[in-house]
Amino acid sequence: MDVLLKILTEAGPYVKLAFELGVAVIEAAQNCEIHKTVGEILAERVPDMETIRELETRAREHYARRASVPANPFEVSPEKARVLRTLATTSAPTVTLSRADVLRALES
Amino acid sequence: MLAIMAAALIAIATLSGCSPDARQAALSGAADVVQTTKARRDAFYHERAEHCLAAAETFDAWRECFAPASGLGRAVDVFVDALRAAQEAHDAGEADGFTAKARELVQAAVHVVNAFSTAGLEVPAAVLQVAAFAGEI
Repeated sequence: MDVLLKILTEAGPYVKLAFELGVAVIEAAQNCEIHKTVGEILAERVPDMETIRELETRAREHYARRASVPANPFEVSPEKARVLRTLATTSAPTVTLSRADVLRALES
Repeated sequence: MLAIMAAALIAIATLSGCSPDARQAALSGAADVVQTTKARRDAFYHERAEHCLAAAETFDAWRECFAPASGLGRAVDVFVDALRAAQEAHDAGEADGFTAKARELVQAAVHVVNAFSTAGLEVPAAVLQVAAFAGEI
């Protein structure tokens, strides 16, 4: 039963596409515009693979972005950790950190 | 992607009364269907891409998930190339040349059928009839 459900779920989009295209086929056949050549009809056609390549590029970028995010969102660089430790462990009302320390921490 | 294939059969059958030139009717009918169904195919590619983004953890897994769609796109483009070549041969008026291109067209049509099969669906009988008809061009 699970297998059947999986097959139907997977097949769904294709069945829908096939149905829609089937309807389009009948409509196109009714156009009766056979005086045009293949070149004329498809003059401004964008190849399907161009669309496919765009989608592949988008997907590649999506996974690249995902890979660049640290696995642990609380993970910080050693530089940031050092600054945070300084802030957390000081008992003074004010903390002295150099501008270079802060910039390094932000850029790390 | 039975539609591209079915294009030939249904369009040819319907258009046969529109022109005395059955070859041109066949070619134009198939081209017309390729064109009019473009938006629907694009929508399908986008839907599939989104589905795979949600289902796959890596780009390689995404490509595997998306393979039926990309196979379909590739097969359609090859089919279109074959259509253009057949049109050129038809325009040149050489019977032998057209026959050779028609064979390539049938081959491309078979690839479209295969692409549809790769999606895990049974190829409808109508599609096979198209292939048989295309073989008679």
